[in-house]
Amino acid sequence: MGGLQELAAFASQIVSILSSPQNWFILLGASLLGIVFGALPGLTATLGVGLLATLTYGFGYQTALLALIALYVGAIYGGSYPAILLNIPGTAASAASAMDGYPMSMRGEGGKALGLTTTASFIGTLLGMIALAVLSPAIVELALGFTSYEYFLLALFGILISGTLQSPDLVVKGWIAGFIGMALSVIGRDPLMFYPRYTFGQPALDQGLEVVPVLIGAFAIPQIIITLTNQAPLASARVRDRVVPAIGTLLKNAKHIVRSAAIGIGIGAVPGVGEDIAGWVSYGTAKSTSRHPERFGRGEPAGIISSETANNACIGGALIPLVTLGIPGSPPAVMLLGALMLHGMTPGPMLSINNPNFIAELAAIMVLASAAMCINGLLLAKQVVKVLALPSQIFLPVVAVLSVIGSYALGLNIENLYLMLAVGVGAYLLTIMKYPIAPLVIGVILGPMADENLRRALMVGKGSLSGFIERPVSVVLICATLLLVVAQIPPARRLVGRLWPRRARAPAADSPDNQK
Amino acid sequence: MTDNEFAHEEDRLALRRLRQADVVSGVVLAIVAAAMVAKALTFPLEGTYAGVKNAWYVSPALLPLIIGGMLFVLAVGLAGNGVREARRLSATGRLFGAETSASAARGGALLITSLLACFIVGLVPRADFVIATALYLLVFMGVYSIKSRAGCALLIACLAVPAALALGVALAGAWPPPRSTGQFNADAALCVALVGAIAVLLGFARATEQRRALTVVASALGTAIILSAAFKYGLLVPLPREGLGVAALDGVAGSLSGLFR
Repeated sequence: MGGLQELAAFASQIVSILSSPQNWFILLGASLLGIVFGALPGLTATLGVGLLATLTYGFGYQTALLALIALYVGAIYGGSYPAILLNIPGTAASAASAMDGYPMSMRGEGGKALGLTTTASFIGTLLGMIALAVLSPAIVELALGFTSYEYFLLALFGILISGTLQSPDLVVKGWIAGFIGMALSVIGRDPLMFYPRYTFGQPALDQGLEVVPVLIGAFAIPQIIITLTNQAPLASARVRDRVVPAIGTLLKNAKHIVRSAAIGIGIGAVPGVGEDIAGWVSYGTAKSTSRHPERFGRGEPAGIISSETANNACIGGALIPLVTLGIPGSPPAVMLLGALMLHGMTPGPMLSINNPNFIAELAAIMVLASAAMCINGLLLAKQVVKVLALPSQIFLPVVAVLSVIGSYALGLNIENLYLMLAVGVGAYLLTIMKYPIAPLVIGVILGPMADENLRRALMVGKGSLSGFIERPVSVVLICATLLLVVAQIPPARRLVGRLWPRRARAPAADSPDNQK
Repeated sequence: MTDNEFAHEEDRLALRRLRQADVVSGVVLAIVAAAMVAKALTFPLEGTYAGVKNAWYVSPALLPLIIGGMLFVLAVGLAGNGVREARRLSATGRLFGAETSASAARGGALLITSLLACFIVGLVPRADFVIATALYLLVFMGVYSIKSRAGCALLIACLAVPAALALGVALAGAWPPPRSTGQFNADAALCVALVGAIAVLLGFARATEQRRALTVVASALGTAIILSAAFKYGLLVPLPREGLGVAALDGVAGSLSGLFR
């Protein structure tokens, strides 16, 4: 399809979506719900998308996608409210925004900071959408040449890189979390021979573990327990000045916007690495390249613009591997993958083949979602701020009920509730021992892909492993996986440190901890 | 000890506790991984299963063996690293010392998990969803709203006792079928527990906590009714168990639709 045709498909999707008044209501409502979800400390974009996914089960896939993406975009933006007004980030993605947003708010410029956040998030989402629309067709083209060899290696690489980058402590814990997820994914009858694996004679386990209760349990239960056990009383938040987009400040910071969007898109495209890392890396880069780094942390608009542009651009980036390869780019994208699967759609290169307008449709939804976020942000910011007064001991038990009924609603199956609780308690234990949860859920999702494709690849080669090293993409993936693993081995790191001392020191200087 | 030294010592203790936890989790995961591999070895590795000729490379055991093997190696590595680091960080050079980690956070986590388990395992599969949700929300929100320990204990009992009884009766195979007289009687008993929990909450709330306690009662009852009605009548999702509360909602819904007809 040529560029003009794609543009026409995109425009027709926008018109088609906006022609239904119901869609207007869903867009604005889901976006507002997302902003509230993001704003309330303890609730995350991932959890919001997961809970809403179960509510949209009865809708058509376009309506469901509209609601979910509007909520996703809104939640990533909404996290900046408490970050700016209370110095408590609503989501990890907006943690970097607190660095300069809170000092601005303390100076009485809370409205200006929220205006900057709103416009930077809007621009970031649009730039992410452009990347999605431009890059996806090329990646789909490449992915159509992939065979079982590449898909197995891609699944393995996705799990390992997510474990490496998400681990808050030792990298090995991220890998272990990924393998635990893969171990959970092999429960049930295997896809090739229908042999029951780890079902222990329980018919309820024959179909394997339902993905959505696993996702809800893994993200909701630890969040509820951790937020309530570490609860701190919130200060009251008020915005005294007007919330307006500071166009002049944005134009002055155009280079920060472009660079931050590129960082956000790039980081979003890496499997399992989310908006939080994008926000920090972008903030750090803006500070280190600024002529006045000493102003950062004291209410510098460039700091807010950088982190907010990057974390919202990350959404488009995270959708690129999701729609082209079936590998989610961020934790909320994992939930989106689950939601698409609920609607009978299998993300991957075939999605664009079976539904040629899908990328245009997704791009249109992203544009409308970012517009809805911008409208809600500019018009309702002062009202939304009032939800920050809602105590967590009131809304978190309600979130638990939503998780219960959401998990049940999918298959009207009580066993799903037990599964959600068990996974949730396990995920909580892993979280307090500093194991990351995102690689675990990515392992659950990519496990079946790895299983089927490994065996298919070996069937093609009649048991020979040579196919893995005869294909160029496969060789690249093997090298990338080996590099990833070897780079974590202490003697190898010391060797790199001796060979390239300057390079080995550089990442330490750029780490977020050093920029605080 | 200066503030700086105190903070450094706190960090050292926290890191040591983390490494001790790594040892425990590493050993547990290594055992689970070994069990996973042992079970995978009982899967058909070669031969014919269900009329399908099998070779090692299409065996259903292949990926479980790889995952179990990798998990075992990584878990053993983690435990080994944990032993080495915990000893290095210990003043006595011993792996497990006398100090314990923050018990308050653990107690809070145990409480929340128990409340969730009472609701999910005890009540949701058996009792009317509207009443069970109202009771669970009231107790959950209530224990975080009042300071009285006796009040909190009684509130928890209002949820835990009915949940344990329901589970016990169900395990004995004597739980009544949905929408039967027995189900309605059980729901009525749960209503009594709900009223008791409201009385406990309002009775034990101090003067300064009264307003918050009333908010909790309104939030718990309102949320249970609104959520149940939204799922049942809005999204057309049947609730896990429908009894007395849902029958009352049906009555209200019927009256409302009659008004607009």
